[in-house]
Amino acid sequence: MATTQPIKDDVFEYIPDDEFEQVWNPPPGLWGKLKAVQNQNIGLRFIFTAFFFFTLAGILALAMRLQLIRPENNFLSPEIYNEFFTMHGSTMIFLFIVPLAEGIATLVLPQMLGTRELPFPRLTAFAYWTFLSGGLLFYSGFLFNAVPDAGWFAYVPLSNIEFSPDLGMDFWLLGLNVAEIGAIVGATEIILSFFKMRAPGMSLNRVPIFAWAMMITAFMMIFAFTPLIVGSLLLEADRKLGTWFYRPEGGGSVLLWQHIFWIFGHPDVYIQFLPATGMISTMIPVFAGRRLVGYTAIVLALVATAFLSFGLWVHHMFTTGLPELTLSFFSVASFLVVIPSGVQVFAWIATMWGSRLNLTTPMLFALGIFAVFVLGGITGVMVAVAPFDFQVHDSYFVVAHLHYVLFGGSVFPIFAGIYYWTPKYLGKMFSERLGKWHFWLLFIGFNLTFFPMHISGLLGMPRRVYTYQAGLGWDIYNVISTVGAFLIAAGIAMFFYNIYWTVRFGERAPRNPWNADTLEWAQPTPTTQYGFRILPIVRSRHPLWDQEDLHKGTEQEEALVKTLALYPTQYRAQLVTSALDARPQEVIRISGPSIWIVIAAIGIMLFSFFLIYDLALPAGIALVAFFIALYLWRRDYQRQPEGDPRLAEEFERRTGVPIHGANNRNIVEGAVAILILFIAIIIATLVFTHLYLRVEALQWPPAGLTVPDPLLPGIAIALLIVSAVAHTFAVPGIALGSNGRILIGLLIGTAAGLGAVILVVVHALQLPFAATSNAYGSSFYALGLMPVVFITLGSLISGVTAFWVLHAPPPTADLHYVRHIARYWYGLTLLSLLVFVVLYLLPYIY
Amino acid sequence: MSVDQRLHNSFGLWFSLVGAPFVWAAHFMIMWAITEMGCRLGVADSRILGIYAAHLLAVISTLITLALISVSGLTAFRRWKELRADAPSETLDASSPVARTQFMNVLGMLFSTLFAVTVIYMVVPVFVLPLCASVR
Repeated sequence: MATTQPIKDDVFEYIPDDEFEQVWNPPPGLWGKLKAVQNQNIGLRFIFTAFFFFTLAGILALAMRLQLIRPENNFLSPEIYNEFFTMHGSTMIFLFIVPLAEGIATLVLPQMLGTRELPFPRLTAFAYWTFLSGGLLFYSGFLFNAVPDAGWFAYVPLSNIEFSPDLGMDFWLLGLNVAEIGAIVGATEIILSFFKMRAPGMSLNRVPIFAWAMMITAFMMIFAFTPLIVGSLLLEADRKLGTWFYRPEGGGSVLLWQHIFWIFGHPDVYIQFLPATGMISTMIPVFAGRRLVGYTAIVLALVATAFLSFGLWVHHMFTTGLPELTLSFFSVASFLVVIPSGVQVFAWIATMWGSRLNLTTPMLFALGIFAVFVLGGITGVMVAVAPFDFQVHDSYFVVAHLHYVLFGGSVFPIFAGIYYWTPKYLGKMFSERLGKWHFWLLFIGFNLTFFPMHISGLLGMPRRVYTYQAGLGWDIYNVISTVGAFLIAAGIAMFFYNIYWTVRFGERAPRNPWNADTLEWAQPTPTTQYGFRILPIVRSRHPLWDQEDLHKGTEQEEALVKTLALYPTQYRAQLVTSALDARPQEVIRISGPSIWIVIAAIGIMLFSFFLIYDLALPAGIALVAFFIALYLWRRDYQRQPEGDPRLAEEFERRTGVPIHGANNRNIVEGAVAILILFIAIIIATLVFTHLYLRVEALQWPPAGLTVPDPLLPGIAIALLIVSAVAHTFAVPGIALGSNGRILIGLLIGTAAGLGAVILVVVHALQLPFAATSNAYGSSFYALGLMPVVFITLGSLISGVTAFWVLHAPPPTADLHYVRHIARYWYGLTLLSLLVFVVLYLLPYIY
Repeated sequence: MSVDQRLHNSFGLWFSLVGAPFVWAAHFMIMWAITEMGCRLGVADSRILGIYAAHLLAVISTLITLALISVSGLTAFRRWKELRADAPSETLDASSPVARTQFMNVLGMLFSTLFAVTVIYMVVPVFVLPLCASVR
């Protein structure tokens, strides 16, 4: 379908849109679909897969409600009930809401930001395949009669090997870890996209609120999911290797798991909530026909919520006997997070105030949040009051609260978002009648299900009981809840039918059926795989409302967007812009279809699966397959043709923007910064673990042990400093055009890094205790050896680059990324120094 | 500093924007450490010059925190004031860097206010609740 008028040019040849789209389309056939990486393919897959898991979780919930419909029922056995509530909660938290939000972001963000794609499409696809394979691994426990049953927060000691001796918890820990890797990878894509891939002119104050919400959410995911991955691996080590992190008899701490879990768990509530508020802030102005009131205040609210949400986790632990003062700090933060949440709600009310609301299905769902989420927020303030929490802890009151927050704050807005964007991405209008049936069934069913739980909770009904005695006053509330649950199911069935109806019978959607203001609605319907061929030039926060011509800007901007529509067209070309003002910086070639992504994801899933069954050799083979797939994925990308350099020069002459092809300068900088952040959070989690165990210990190191001799690790730190200095020496070689200087720096840096690794390993072999001796040993080895993994990786990267410079000297400009390698070493050196201080010096002070 | 320099990506720009929440986060962890570690070690309720050690540490860390947040907020305010005359109207203005910088400055001022209140609110319980008592 042609959307662009032919452009005449003396140098660059115009190709029609359908030829242009060929470059962006996935290859044909099933094989081609497996290789697809385009954001629209992957976004839709995320959404459909998340709804698949949602359906499974819903069936489990219905079975639980049937069991509870009357006292002393025996529809489900206690064991099966435990498995069902564990699987239900875990699925909804890990496999539905977060991936669905990521899926919507993957689908919508590039077009909303006025560009063509996400920065690393293969990583996006990898995020999807790891999410799918992690979810399937998690559910495959049903096939192997090993279903987790310790609840979705897997408290120790219940989840330890002593009390959960079968493999169910291993499926939980490793399956979900694989899925979380996908979440972190996807988050990286969203952050880089937000900062570096926006239409020219879309400065930070013009970015749509949904994009702000997703960027902030993505940072929260990196900060929250990483500790959970580390904590889960430590629990798996306790179960499989006999370490002592969470086992008090060896000096471990059960509360440590609760801290690590809730450092993830509470921010995760906001990880689910913020994308939803972003959607609401996008929709309300559209259906009210007015600009959003308080754009700046809403950005403030999103960022403040993100920060405060990391200061709330202990409010899940109010009954664990922590000092009252500790409780008060977390109680205060729990109150204060109401301020930013309230700011958003009042901004929405102010936007709607006095307007003529267009009450379409998406708007109905958006309004549902006011009734449902606000009530969940109010009960949230109630449970933030420690004495009240003591009374209702682990009761159905908490079940009611969390469902009002998560279902009201996330699921209602997600349905609003799905209906809102359906016309654009399915290309057809849904049935309003079915949509309204869906809303009212869900709204009534939801309140019937969960409101009575407040009362049964206050009457003392504990959560997670498979049955109860008659005559305790809970019977009627459970009957109402079960009836409500089936109404919810009817509403969801209506939704699925509506989607089927839309695809089968829906009318073709107009380009902008809601008269929306954001850029994705400037796209034809259904959208093209390449997003914008001629990029828009943004001059307003509401481009479709304020700009008559989306391609009008400065002379240079207009030349750029026009020329970029003509060249490069032989590969997937993408414009990179500056973080603050979206000024054009470079044109890069983004990656295309590859089967190695799928193989890498399957490799990591099989690695986890074989670990569950202690099959070391197959696990090793799967891991090797994963690394080979990674290598081929990268090599395949680099080998694609870059195009005629003379045309690239002409492009730069006209537009002032260089074409860097596969050798991008700006995105990689952000990617390395996120990698360093990820490593820092891993190390910080292990430092926290070590210090927490130390605080709980009577004697540290335990009786009979002394702090190990710091000589060898001290020399290793000195070598790391040498490595950092050597890399610093290499960096000016880029500007000087001196491959020799770069080579010397890299070689010395690599040798020093490897020397540090050898010294630490020798030191570890000489230690008088093992990781399985006690909690001190477990923590010492985990913290001490973790930097070694990343130093080895750094040495490998520096070494391979040096090898490349030596054997096939590239143009020096192509070695610009040595600057980023140097930054990696700086970060690693600082983190290793921190580890050294904690392990070897701190015990002398505290 | 020229107007142009104030528009650029710089430490000052980012510190005035998100300095306050980061400083709050550090203060939060310090306060938590004072109670958790201080109580376990039995030093939180020891006295220095007749004052509880925990109270003394809380006051010192809070004053330092508030000072840093003030610097962040005042930097944002100063930058906002200097650019006020140059700020264009929001709609359809091609010179977005000034409007964008002002947006960041206003955000910085709001963050500083919110997190200053948060820090003050958080330190109050230290003087109200008994040190190291726990509900079991």
